[in-house]
Amino acid sequence: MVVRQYNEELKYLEKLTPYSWRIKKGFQPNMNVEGIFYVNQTLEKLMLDELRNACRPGMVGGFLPGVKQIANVAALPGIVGKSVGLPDVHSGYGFAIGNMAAFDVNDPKSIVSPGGVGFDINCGVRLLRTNLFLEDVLPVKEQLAQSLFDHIPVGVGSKGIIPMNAKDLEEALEMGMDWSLREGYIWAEDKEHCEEYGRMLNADPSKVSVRAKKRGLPQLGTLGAGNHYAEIQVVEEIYDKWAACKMGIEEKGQICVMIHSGSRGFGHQVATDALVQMEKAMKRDNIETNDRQLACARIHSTEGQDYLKSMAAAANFAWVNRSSMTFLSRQAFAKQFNMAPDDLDMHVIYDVSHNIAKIEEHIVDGKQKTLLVHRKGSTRAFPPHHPLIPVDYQLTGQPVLIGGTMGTCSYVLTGTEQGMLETFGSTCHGAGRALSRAKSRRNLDYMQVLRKMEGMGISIRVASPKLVMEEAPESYKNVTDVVNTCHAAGISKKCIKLKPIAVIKG
Amino acid sequence: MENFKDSELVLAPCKYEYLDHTADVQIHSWGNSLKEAFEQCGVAMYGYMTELPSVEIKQSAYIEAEGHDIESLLFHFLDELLFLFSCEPNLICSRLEIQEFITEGEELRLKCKCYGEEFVIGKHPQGTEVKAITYSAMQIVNEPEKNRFELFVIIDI
Amino acid sequence: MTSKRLLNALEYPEVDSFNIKDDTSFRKIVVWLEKNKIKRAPYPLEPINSPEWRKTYEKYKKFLGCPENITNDEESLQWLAGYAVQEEYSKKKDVLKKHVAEETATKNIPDIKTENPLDTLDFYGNDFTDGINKVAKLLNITPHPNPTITLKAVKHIVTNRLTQHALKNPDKYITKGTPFPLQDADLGFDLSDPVLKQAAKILRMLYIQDLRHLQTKANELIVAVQNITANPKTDTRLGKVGF
Repeated sequence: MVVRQYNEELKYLEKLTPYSWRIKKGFQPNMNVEGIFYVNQTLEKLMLDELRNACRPGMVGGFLPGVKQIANVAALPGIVGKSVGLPDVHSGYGFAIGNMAAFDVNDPKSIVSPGGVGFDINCGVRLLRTNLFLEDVLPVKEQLAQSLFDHIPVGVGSKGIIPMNAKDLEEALEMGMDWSLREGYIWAEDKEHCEEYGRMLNADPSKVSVRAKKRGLPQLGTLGAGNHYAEIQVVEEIYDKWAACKMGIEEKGQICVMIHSGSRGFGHQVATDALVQMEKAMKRDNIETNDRQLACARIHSTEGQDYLKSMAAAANFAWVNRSSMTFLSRQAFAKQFNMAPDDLDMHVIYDVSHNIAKIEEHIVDGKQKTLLVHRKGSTRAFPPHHPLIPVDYQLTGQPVLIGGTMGTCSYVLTGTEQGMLETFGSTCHGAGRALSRAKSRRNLDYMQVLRKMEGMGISIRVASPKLVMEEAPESYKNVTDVVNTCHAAGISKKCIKLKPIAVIKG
Repeated sequence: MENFKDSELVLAPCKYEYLDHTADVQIHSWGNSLKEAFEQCGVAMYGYMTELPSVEIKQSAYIEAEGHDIESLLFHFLDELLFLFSCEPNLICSRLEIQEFITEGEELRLKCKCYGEEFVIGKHPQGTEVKAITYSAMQIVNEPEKNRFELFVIIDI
Repeated sequence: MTSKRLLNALEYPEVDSFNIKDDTSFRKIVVWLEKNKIKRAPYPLEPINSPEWRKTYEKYKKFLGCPENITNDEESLQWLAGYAVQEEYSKKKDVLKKHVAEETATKNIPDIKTENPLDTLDFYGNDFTDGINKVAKLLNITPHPNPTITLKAVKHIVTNRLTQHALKNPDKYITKGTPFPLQDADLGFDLSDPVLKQAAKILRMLYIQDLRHLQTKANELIVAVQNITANPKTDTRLGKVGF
């Protein structure tokens, strides 16, 4: 990292619009393209404070500030357009979380980086609707929360309750949601409303280590811990009536279920394995990066291809995982209301991935190009009429699900044409951390947080008390700030606001 | 249940702490030797997954790790411990004893006996899940002449 | 505006200046159409300033067979102009067909006599046209000047809405929902010509409808396979849930 005074650093940053900043070449060495990040006033302060802190003399350890990480990504070989920081950006392993970058597949120098996907491959959000309204649920809210908790395994060391053997796992890794369909855990319409139709076709389980499979097998169908959750939410605001209507959301007060989870230990191990492999490949192919954490390999190298194939298998794992929890949630509701999930209209509105790399077609400088788009803590947000979005959303644009943090609101946005041009059809993914975990533990009290939740009318079931402090809303950036920035910058459009009434966590 | 010598049931004093980090957790461990700092670091990771006092020593397992430098040896050591927890026998450990510790030459290697029991929800409070070990900001202080042995590792959670 | 194009084709002298919203202008066109092109009125239309004009006009429309659900002036003008174009065409049919015939070189087609009475039907004869238009009227369909297109529309309604199953379960077949604000919709690309843009939008809608049908069929196929393969299970002994 280049050591400069904060004031010197600022010369490389330029405010383009009230909602975006340009990172000029030279901010970090060897930048092939410029960087851009989207912030409003509040988020801008957080972003620049992080940079200022890092400029203080004697700072060691930890990650680079997010803005430096965005610039380091801009220095990776084969990058096109810009290295994009979304409003919820915060520093992560190699790539910042909330960082999007695209690489030209036809450029032999282009790379793929596991750090640009994240450890939790295909971590994502799924939203189910119901035909219930707040008044139907309020009298049984506690029971319903308990019922969900009794159906979905959560937390450290939890194991799935859907019987799986090694052969089932192999098939699930290859087939993704088609496996869940075949076994009858989900409905045909679920597949339709899922990114990639719930299956990455290039998945190759034979490229995945035995270790990853061993870690994955018992965890399939579990929620996990950390920021993952299942929530019962109520529609609080509808901004785009017509688009909401296409999603089956008619009125305020309607009840939805949101599931935020990923590929569990399976994905973590795939990422770990790939990082080890790529360290070697980098030496062999003389790939220079600004940061050792930006381990990567050329897309067309064996390591690059193997990673893409095993990443696809992990993505499939995550879809099967969310599908299994969809099945369990439907059961929980069906039992509570003594009605079939069908009659409760518990359809999947959409399912997004916010930790993934995908091959997509985009227009760069007026020419169509095939790109490998990395989205780490960033959600795909394709505009209306894009061929890769489901027929039901052809006119509205792709639904983008933005999960809040424990107790805060979540949002549904839609993709826009402007987002397609500016950010390769990408937008934010959630709130993004503002406070460190240790600080949260110190500053917040477990009972206090729980009482506050209760005061807000939120039933909560959580496996780990520590987590309640770490995941308290105070530890995160305000999701409303994040979403409003995306809306104001035009890279996606607000559609629905949801408020939690019950939270299930690890 | 395995039989253990009394000396094997004695827990080491706590020589680790969790440092501030935005999204993840940084473990800082130390000891009178590099070996001890390694053992402490492993226990610290388990300590983030549950409350260690709830863990009884009922069974043991051996793990082995290799590396081309001390950083990668530490990385693989922790990765093996995480794996021991994540799959059969789902061991959560409160005591680690490194029995072979080769930190010189081309191939670095260690062998560790891990003491603990199977993780059982209900008995062991659920802490935070560790997704992966990272190299980021990994620091190894190995200064025998000053008797300083310290490790800094960020675990992704 | 379709009416304008039709009137242009009919060489209506004031085609550039007329205003459909203006009553006098509308009456003038109707009278002109009848006098010069349609020439079917059993009795002459009233002068345009007569208070009785609307009354005789309604009779005249009915006489020509204009569907009753066409009530506003804009639509009925379009229908009348369409009618006139059709008349023009049948008068000059031979000349026009000659052009077409020159384009499509005749081949030696073997002369096979069929016994299917439908094959001997004259699809452009008045009998056929009148018959189809009558059926269309029954089904509340606006007839197209080309009777075969009207027939297609009739077929669509009959096969989709009038089957035994559809009549018993109308809810399954009559699509409900909020109408799409077509005019405000973003087409996804730019067309400077507003007429073309409108047409492109309609094509978009039709394409999306086709896609929807395809997806529905795919879903039905999946469900059919699921009936054989599905066997979802849970076993709570495998893991611990709840506390």
